Amino acid sequence: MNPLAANGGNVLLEVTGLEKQFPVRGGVLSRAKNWVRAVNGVSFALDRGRTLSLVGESGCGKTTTGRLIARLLTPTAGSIVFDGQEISQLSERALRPTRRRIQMVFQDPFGSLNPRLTVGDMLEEILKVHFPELRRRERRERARELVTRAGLSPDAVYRYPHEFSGGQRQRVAIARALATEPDLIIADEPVSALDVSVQAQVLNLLVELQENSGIALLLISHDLHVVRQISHEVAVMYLGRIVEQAPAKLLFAAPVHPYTRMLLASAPSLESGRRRQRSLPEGDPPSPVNLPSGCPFHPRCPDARPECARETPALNTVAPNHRAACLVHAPAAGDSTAG
Amino acid sequence: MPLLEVNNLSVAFSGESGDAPAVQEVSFCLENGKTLALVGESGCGKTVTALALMDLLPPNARKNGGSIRFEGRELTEMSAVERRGLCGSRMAMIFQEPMTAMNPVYPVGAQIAAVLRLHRGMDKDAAWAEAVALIRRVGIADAERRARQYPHELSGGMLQRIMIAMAISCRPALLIADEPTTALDVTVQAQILALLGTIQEETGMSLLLITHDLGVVAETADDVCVMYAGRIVETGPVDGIIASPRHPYTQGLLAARRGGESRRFAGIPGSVPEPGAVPPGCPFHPRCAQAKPVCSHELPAALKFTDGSGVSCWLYEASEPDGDTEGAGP
Repeated sequence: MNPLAANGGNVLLEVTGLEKQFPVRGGVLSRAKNWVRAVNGVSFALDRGRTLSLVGESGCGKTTTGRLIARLLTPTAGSIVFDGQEISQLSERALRPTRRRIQMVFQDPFGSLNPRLTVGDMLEEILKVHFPELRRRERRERARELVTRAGLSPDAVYRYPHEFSGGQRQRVAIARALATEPDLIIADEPVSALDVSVQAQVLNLLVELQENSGIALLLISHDLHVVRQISHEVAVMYLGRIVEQAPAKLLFAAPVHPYTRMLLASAPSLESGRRRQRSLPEGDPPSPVNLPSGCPFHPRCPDARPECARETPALNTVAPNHRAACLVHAPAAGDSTAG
Repeated sequence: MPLLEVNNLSVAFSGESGDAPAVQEVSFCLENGKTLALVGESGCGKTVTALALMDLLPPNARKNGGSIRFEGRELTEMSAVERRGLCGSRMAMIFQEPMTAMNPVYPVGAQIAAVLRLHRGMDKDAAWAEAVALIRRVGIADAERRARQYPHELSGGMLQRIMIAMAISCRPALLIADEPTTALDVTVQAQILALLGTIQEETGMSLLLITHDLGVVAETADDVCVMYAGRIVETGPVDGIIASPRHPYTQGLLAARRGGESRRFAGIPGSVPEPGAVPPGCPFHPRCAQAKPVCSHELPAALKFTDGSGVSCWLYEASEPDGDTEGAGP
């Protein structure tokens, strides 16, 4: 089983061998000509009240993974166990009680809010669906409470999404996520569309909510700086697979996988000084339609060996709590665990 | 003589509710072969400044005075025809979204060749050969085949390389790069920034880099202008700005990048003002933790220091403790 599930009853979410393939249609009859393997065998566990970040470049499958767990998509294969219940293939009806407990915050706070509802109406509607026992006055009271928890003034309930700035809109999106009292929030690039000076406000709000209410956070981000600061645990994805996973401090201090190293070295840094000498990343991130054989990273890998083109590495334990999928840097030992 | 000298440039957008200033009294210099970064958040006027230099302002924008001297010539006094001859040849620009900046119905090589025929008077065959050579030069393998492909067939990183090939096709003295790597993945960003650096070393081209990312600035720029709400609030050599920023806004931006311990992020309260709703006095004062009464009603003067840096902030009146100010009037 998953080695991260070691601390027993605290596990909220456990994902095993998750896969999602999308058809690429073409030709006159729109038959599936090819498959995009967006998520290709992802496994991890997330404890209550903790933050796990999925990082990687565009096309690595991090967003699809988030949507599969929120069950906005149905997995092709694999299991998603949420609080002890297998939800990967549940019907819409059977999912109802779980939907309340898993909420999403999206990148574009404007695109994800109904422009024709005031914030109060929007929140009250959610409360009506999920807490039908509440009276109208109680709902109104609850809505004001929610926007206050998200750091807005109670009067925000009377306003429409367009009346808010980007950062405030993202607070509204967070208030909406909180309305159903979730156990897990999946935040997909929640601050990428915001100005740098405003990002901190939204991120701090997420951290505070987590610390006060024990919500688990699955953060999907390409921003290594944000990920480093906010995460307990980080999983690096490449072409639909997790190639390395470790506690945030460990991953940033001692990355093992050549892709993680490339990613960290590519991020511009304030400290490194001008035009530092570094080995530049090779090639473009490949498309998930034509996956390379063997290790998906081998065509760009500076350390690749002949066997990397043939053999797909498993996610092996390289140190306590630290796993990597690399034939060269994380060879299988006796204690190996397939990812 | 600097390659580019901008003095008191102001641009406003006219709208239903009157004029909204987008760029106000912006001045800076760029020397040959150097990189100057204009840094700021959305609405700070960095892109409008670049568009004004390239004479690409939208019809509802109005230039309210100021001078732009490029290679010793005053651009604002030139005819539209003269200006057009200069833009694309002596000064070129690349954009954030290479996909939308290219024509989707022509092969990328043909688009580069068109520039060569227009500005360098080449014939069809010579222009095509040169276009292929340029595509090779920006690090694209299999250049002949790529030149015949259409924009949608290329990745974002490759398209940005094509944009760069097109921009350098007439050997410009100045390249304006507006968020050239913002839409790209971080590994591709590193490649593109390195490519721009190599081209600069080989040709002595100057780069005006427009970005919101202080990490990119730290790695590529020689000098920096930090903009906020249409004005330059701090300027100076990059090392000084990164190591000891003077303006509270610059300090806040850097703190937001650096982060601290215990999972908390440093930021700046409030949000960036909309153009047209810029507060009176120092535009940053409502968000500034160190604001004084004077900040809310009077604009701070641009102070200059002997090391070439400058700041517009009431915290640094002429009585700066080091005493190295030359002072400047409001």
